[in-house]
Amino acid sequence: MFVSGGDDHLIKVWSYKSKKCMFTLNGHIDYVRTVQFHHDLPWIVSSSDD
Amino acid sequence: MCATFHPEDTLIASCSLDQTIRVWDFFKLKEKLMNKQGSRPGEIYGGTEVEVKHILEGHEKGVNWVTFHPTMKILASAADDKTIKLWRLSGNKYWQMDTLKGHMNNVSCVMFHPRMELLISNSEDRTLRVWDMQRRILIHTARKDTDRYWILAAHPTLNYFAAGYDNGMNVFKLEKERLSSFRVGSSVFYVHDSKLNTYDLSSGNKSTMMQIQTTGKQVLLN
Repeated sequence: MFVSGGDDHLIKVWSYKSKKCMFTLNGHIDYVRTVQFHHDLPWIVSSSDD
Repeated sequence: MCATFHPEDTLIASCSLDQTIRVWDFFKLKEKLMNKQGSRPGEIYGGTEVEVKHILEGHEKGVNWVTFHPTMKILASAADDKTIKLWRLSGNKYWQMDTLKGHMNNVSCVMFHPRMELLISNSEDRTLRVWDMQRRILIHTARKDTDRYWILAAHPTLNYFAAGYDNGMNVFKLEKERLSSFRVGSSVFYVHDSKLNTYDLSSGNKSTMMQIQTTGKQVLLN
């Protein structure tokens, strides 16, 4: 799995095995700059221009 | 401009165009969520459970990137003031350890080498630079003609790195993986741990011939 954030304000979690988007997270209202999985907990931290 | 989890502790470091870096502690949030099973999906956390623990001031322009050292209590940050700063947690406060100057434009990203005492940075000045963490000096520069660099990533275990620029991505290695060696008759000469050694193929005897003086770690970018 990997996670991406975009200028479309969305965070997407992808499976690189199936090459498909598994989840889309919305909530940000401006560009998403960085995203990162937590090493242990099922969390993502994101930063955005909002 | 960036937010990142600490590799072990319940901390997040964030950096901003307001020229500060903030270190947040989400311990209380973690405790709360561990006690409460099945929180609503999509619930936005925050509020009072995540507290600002440290505010790091020193950059003179917006800060683009912040990263925790994988094992030591050190942070590195990259900013539009063309510098990289190293911060050390001592007592209960982060102190500025050093400022690395050399980039000619906004520094986009900075990363600690996962296993070696090196720092890798890249910038809108179209260069990627490798710094020696102990001596805090620049040891290698790789330059692009037209594209600005934006981001860096390291493979978690293998010697692979990636750097993203305007029109693509470089994947590269640091350091040679094979020892430099040559053979004369039945003797193999090779370099290991800054020592020139010989190994005799017929007898299997190993010996160290001399210490090799180097001015710095040899780094190759492929």
